[in-house]
Amino acid sequence: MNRITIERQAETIERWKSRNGVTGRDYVPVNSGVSRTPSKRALLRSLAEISADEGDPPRFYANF
Amino acid sequence: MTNTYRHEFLTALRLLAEAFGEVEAAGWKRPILVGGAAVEFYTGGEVVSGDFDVVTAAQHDLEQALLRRGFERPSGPGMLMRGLLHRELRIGVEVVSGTLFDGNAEETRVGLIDLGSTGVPIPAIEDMIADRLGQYSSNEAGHPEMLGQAVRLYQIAMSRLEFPLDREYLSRRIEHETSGHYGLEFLIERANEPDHD
Repeated sequence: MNRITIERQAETIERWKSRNGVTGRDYVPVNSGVSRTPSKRALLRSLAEISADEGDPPRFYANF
Repeated sequence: MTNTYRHEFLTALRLLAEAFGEVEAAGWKRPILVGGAAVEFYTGGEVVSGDFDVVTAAQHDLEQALLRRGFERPSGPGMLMRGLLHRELRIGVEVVSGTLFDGNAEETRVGLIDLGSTGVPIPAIEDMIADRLGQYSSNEAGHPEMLGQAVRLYQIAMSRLEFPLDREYLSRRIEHETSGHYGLEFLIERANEPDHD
Protein backbone atom coordinates (compact mmCIF):
# COMPACT_ATOMS: atom_id res chain seq x y z
CA MET A 1 0.00 0.00 0.00
CA ASN A 2 1.39 3.38 -1.04
CA ARG A 3 1.72 5.61 2.02
CA ILE A 4 1.30 9.30 1.25
CA THR A 5 2.12 11.78 3.98
CA ILE A 6 0.33 15.10 4.27
CA GLU A 7 3.66 16.86 3.92
CA ARG A 8 4.70 14.96 0.78
CA GLN A 9 1.34 15.51 -0.93
CA ALA A 10 1.48 19.20 0.00
CA GLU A 11 4.94 19.40 -1.59
CA THR A 12 3.56 17.86 -4.78
CA ILE A 13 0.68 20.33 -4.88
CA GLU A 14 2.89 23.33 -4.14
CA ARG A 15 5.36 22.19 -6.82
CA TRP A 16 2.55 22.05 -9.39
CA LYS A 17 1.15 25.43 -8.26
CA SER A 18 4.57 27.06 -8.44
CA ARG A 19 5.28 25.72 -11.92
CA ASN A 20 1.92 26.90 -13.20
CA GLY A 21 1.60 30.22 -11.39
CA VAL A 22 -1.42 29.02 -9.43
CA THR A 23 -2.32 30.68 -6.13
CA GLY A 24 -5.09 30.35 -3.57
CA ARG A 25 -7.32 27.33 -3.13
CA ASP A 26 -9.98 27.92 -5.79
CA TYR A 27 -8.17 26.23 -8.67
CA VAL A 28 -10.36 23.12 -8.52
CA PRO A 29 -13.98 23.45 -9.70
CA VAL A 30 -16.51 23.05 -6.91
CA ASN A 31 -19.11 20.28 -7.17
CA SER A 32 -22.26 21.54 -8.87
CA GLY A 33 -24.46 19.52 -6.53
CA VAL A 34 -26.74 18.48 -9.40
CA SER A 35 -26.63 14.80 -8.47
CA ARG A 36 -26.61 15.10 -4.69
CA THR A 37 -28.88 12.70 -2.88
CA PRO A 38 -31.59 14.14 -0.61
CA SER A 39 -29.70 12.92 2.45
CA LYS A 40 -26.51 14.63 1.28
CA ARG A 41 -28.39 17.85 0.69
CA ALA A 42 -29.89 17.60 4.17
CA LEU A 43 -26.50 16.98 5.74
CA LEU A 44 -24.91 19.97 4.01
CA ARG A 45 -27.91 22.14 4.87
CA SER A 46 -27.54 21.18 8.54
CA LEU A 47 -23.89 22.17 8.50
CA ALA A 48 -24.70 25.51 6.87
CA GLU A 49 -27.45 26.16 9.42
CA ILE A 50 -25.05 25.54 12.30
CA SER A 51 -22.74 28.17 10.87
CA ALA A 52 -25.64 30.58 10.38
CA ASP A 53 -26.98 30.00 13.91
CA GLU A 54 -23.58 30.82 15.36
CA GLY A 55 -23.07 33.84 13.12
CA ASP A 56 -20.12 32.28 11.33
CA PRO A 57 -19.50 32.39 7.60
CA PRO A 58 -19.98 29.03 5.86
CA ARG A 59 -16.81 26.96 5.88
CA PHE A 60 -17.49 25.45 2.50
CA TYR A 61 -19.31 26.30 -0.65
CA ALA A 62 -22.01 23.89 -1.77
CA ASN A 63 -25.27 23.94 -3.64
CA PHE A 64 -27.98 22.13 -1.72
CA MET B 1 2.84 21.53 9.43
CA THR B 2 1.74 22.48 5.95
CA ASN B 3 -0.79 25.24 5.30
CA THR B 4 -1.86 23.61 2.03
CA TYR B 5 -4.80 22.03 3.83
CA ARG B 6 -7.35 23.73 6.04
CA HIS B 7 -7.31 22.96 9.74
CA GLU B 8 -10.77 21.36 9.80
CA PHE B 9 -9.81 18.98 7.02
CA LEU B 10 -6.70 17.74 8.82
CA THR B 11 -8.49 17.42 12.15
CA ALA B 12 -11.33 15.47 10.53
CA LEU B 13 -8.83 13.14 8.87
CA ARG B 14 -7.34 12.30 12.26
CA LEU B 15 -10.76 11.65 13.79
CA LEU B 16 -11.65 9.44 10.84
CA ALA B 17 -8.39 7.53 11.17
CA GLU B 18 -9.16 6.79 14.81
CA ALA B 19 -12.67 5.65 13.97
CA PHE B 20 -11.44 3.55 11.03
CA GLY B 21 -8.98 1.86 13.38
CA GLU B 22 -11.81 0.95 15.69
CA VAL B 23 -13.80 -0.53 12.80
CA GLU B 24 -10.79 -2.54 11.67
CA ALA B 25 -10.16 -3.79 15.19
CA ALA B 26 -13.73 -5.12 15.21
CA GLY B 27 -12.82 -7.38 12.28
CA TRP B 28 -13.95 -5.29 9.31
CA LYS B 29 -11.88 -4.04 6.41
CA ARG B 30 -10.60 -0.55 7.05
CA PRO B 31 -13.02 1.98 5.51
CA ILE B 32 -11.91 4.10 2.53
CA LEU B 33 -12.31 7.84 2.03
CA VAL B 34 -13.76 8.69 -1.40
CA GLY B 35 -15.55 11.57 -3.16
CA GLY B 36 -14.83 15.25 -2.77
CA ALA B 37 -12.70 14.84 0.34
CA ALA B 38 -10.39 12.47 -1.54
CA VAL B 39 -10.15 15.06 -4.32
CA GLU B 40 -9.39 17.70 -1.69
CA PHE B 41 -6.53 15.58 -0.35
CA TYR B 42 -5.02 14.98 -3.77
CA THR B 43 -5.40 18.58 -4.99
CA GLY B 44 -5.34 20.76 -1.88
CA GLY B 45 -8.25 22.61 -3.44
CA GLU B 46 -11.43 23.35 -1.57
CA VAL B 47 -13.65 21.15 -3.72
CA VAL B 48 -16.62 21.18 -1.43
CA SER B 49 -16.02 19.54 0.99
CA GLY B 50 -18.51 19.84 3.74
CA ASP B 51 -18.77 16.15 3.94
CA PHE B 52 -16.55 13.13 3.83
CA ASP B 53 -17.86 10.18 1.81
CA VAL B 54 -16.78 6.80 3.07
CA VAL B 55 -16.92 3.29 1.65
CA THR B 56 -17.41 0.55 4.21
CA ALA B 57 -19.57 -2.47 4.82
CA ALA B 58 -19.51 -1.62 8.52
CA GLN B 59 -21.75 1.43 8.57
CA HIS B 60 -23.14 0.79 12.06
CA ASP B 61 -19.72 0.21 13.62
CA LEU B 62 -18.27 3.27 11.92
CA GLU B 63 -21.12 5.48 13.03
CA GLN B 64 -20.76 4.29 16.61
CA ALA B 65 -17.03 5.04 16.50
CA LEU B 66 -17.71 8.51 15.12
CA LEU B 67 -20.42 9.23 17.69
CA ARG B 68 -17.80 8.55 20.37
CA ARG B 69 -15.58 11.19 18.74
CA GLY B 70 -17.85 14.21 18.76
CA PHE B 71 -20.01 13.50 15.75
CA GLU B 72 -23.79 13.61 16.04
CA ARG B 73 -26.83 12.80 13.98
CA PRO B 74 -28.45 15.79 12.27
CA SER B 75 -31.76 16.76 13.81
CA GLY B 76 -34.70 18.83 12.72
CA PRO B 77 -38.07 18.49 11.06
CA GLY B 78 -38.04 16.22 8.06
CA MET B 79 -34.36 15.49 8.49
CA LEU B 80 -33.18 12.37 6.76
CA MET B 81 -31.03 10.40 9.13
CA ARG B 82 -28.21 9.28 6.93
CA GLY B 83 -24.85 10.69 7.82
CA LEU B 84 -23.32 12.31 10.86
CA LEU B 85 -21.95 15.78 11.43
CA HIS B 86 -19.32 17.35 13.64
CA ARG B 87 -20.65 20.63 15.00
CA GLU B 88 -17.28 22.21 15.78
CA LEU B 89 -15.50 21.19 12.58
CA ARG B 90 -18.65 21.74 10.44
CA ILE B 91 -17.92 18.54 8.59
CA GLY B 92 -20.25 15.65 7.84
CA VAL B 93 -19.55 11.99 7.20
CA GLU B 94 -21.73 9.74 5.07
CA VAL B 95 -21.32 6.09 4.12
CA VAL B 96 -22.04 6.05 0.39
CA SER B 97 -21.33 2.42 -0.49
CA GLY B 98 -20.14 -0.88 0.84
CA THR B 99 -17.87 -1.52 -2.14
CA LEU B 100 -15.18 0.65 -3.70
CA PHE B 101 -16.32 1.83 -7.14
CA ASP B 102 -18.69 -1.13 -7.41
CA GLY B 103 -15.74 -3.51 -7.28
CA ASN B 104 -14.16 -2.08 -10.42
CA ALA B 105 -11.09 -0.57 -8.76
CA GLU B 106 -8.12 -2.75 -7.90
CA GLU B 107 -8.06 -2.66 -4.11
CA THR B 108 -4.33 -3.41 -4.05
CA ARG B 109 -3.88 0.10 -5.44
CA VAL B 110 -5.65 1.77 -2.52
CA GLY B 111 -3.24 4.17 -0.85
CA LEU B 112 -2.97 5.38 2.71
CA ILE B 113 -2.94 8.96 3.90
CA ASP B 114 -0.09 8.49 6.34
CA LEU B 115 -0.82 10.19 9.65
CA GLY B 116 2.04 8.64 11.57
CA SER B 117 0.86 5.75 13.67
CA THR B 118 -2.45 5.67 11.84
CA GLY B 119 -3.90 6.54 8.47
CA VAL B 120 -6.87 6.92 6.17
CA PRO B 121 -7.17 4.68 3.09
CA ILE B 122 -7.85 6.55 -0.14
CA PRO B 123 -8.39 5.31 -3.72
CA ALA B 124 -5.50 5.46 -6.15
CA ILE B 125 -5.41 8.78 -7.96
CA GLU B 126 -6.02 6.91 -11.23
CA ASP B 127 -9.34 5.68 -9.83
CA MET B 128 -10.28 9.16 -8.65
CA ILE B 129 -9.57 10.61 -12.11
CA ALA B 130 -11.63 7.89 -13.77
CA ASP B 131 -14.47 8.39 -11.28
CA ARG B 132 -14.64 12.10 -12.04
CA LEU B 133 -14.62 11.47 -15.79
CA GLY B 134 -17.30 8.85 -15.34
CA GLN B 135 -19.53 11.38 -13.61
CA TYR B 136 -18.78 13.92 -16.35
CA SER B 137 -19.59 11.39 -19.03
CA SER B 138 -22.92 10.52 -17.46
CA ASN B 139 -24.14 14.11 -17.64
CA GLU B 140 -21.79 16.47 -19.43
CA ALA B 141 -24.11 19.47 -19.16
CA GLY B 142 -24.75 18.86 -15.49
CA HIS B 143 -21.22 18.02 -14.44
CA PRO B 144 -18.69 20.22 -16.26
CA GLU B 145 -16.87 20.59 -12.93
CA MET B 146 -16.11 16.88 -12.91
CA LEU B 147 -14.01 17.24 -16.04
CA GLY B 148 -12.24 20.14 -14.38
CA GLN B 149 -11.54 18.06 -11.29
CA ALA B 150 -10.23 15.18 -13.40
CA VAL B 151 -7.90 17.56 -15.23
CA ARG B 152 -6.53 19.01 -11.99
CA LEU B 153 -6.04 15.56 -10.50
CA TYR B 154 -4.16 14.48 -13.61
CA GLN B 155 -1.99 17.59 -13.72
CA ILE B 156 -1.04 17.29 -10.05
CA ALA B 157 -0.44 13.56 -10.39
CA MET B 158 2.04 14.33 -13.14
CA SER B 159 3.99 16.44 -10.63
CA ARG B 160 4.47 13.56 -8.22
CA LEU B 161 8.04 12.44 -7.70
CA GLU B 162 6.98 9.19 -6.08
CA PHE B 163 4.18 6.86 -7.15
CA PRO B 164 4.21 7.84 -10.84
CA LEU B 165 0.92 7.66 -12.67
CA ASP B 166 0.12 4.24 -14.12
CA ARG B 167 -1.08 5.27 -17.55
CA GLU B 168 -2.17 1.81 -18.61
CA TYR B 169 -4.35 1.38 -15.55
CA LEU B 170 -5.69 4.93 -15.84
CA SER B 171 -6.59 4.38 -19.48
CA ARG B 172 -8.41 1.15 -18.67
CA ARG B 173 -10.30 2.69 -15.78
CA ILE B 174 -11.36 5.76 -17.79
CA GLU B 175 -12.72 3.61 -20.56
CA HIS B 176 -14.64 1.51 -18.05
CA GLU B 177 -16.07 4.40 -16.02
CA THR B 178 -17.12 6.31 -19.15
CA SER B 179 -18.45 3.20 -20.92
CA GLY B 180 -15.94 3.77 -23.67
CA HIS B 181 -17.02 7.35 -24.41
CA TYR B 182 -13.68 8.80 -23.34
CA GLY B 183 -10.09 7.68 -23.12
CA LEU B 184 -6.80 8.87 -21.71
CA GLU B 185 -6.01 10.91 -24.82
CA PHE B 186 -9.10 13.05 -24.25
CA LEU B 187 -7.94 13.81 -20.72
CA ILE B 188 -4.41 14.65 -21.83
CA GLU B 189 -5.72 16.97 -24.53
CA ARG B 190 -7.88 18.82 -22.05
CA ALA B 191 -5.06 19.01 -19.52
CA ASN B 192 -2.82 20.64 -22.12
CA GLU B 193 -5.34 23.29 -23.11
CA PRO B 194 -4.34 26.83 -22.05
CA ASP B 195 -7.46 27.22 -19.89
CA HIS B 196 -6.25 24.40 -17.70
CA ASP B 197 -2.67 25.63 -17.26
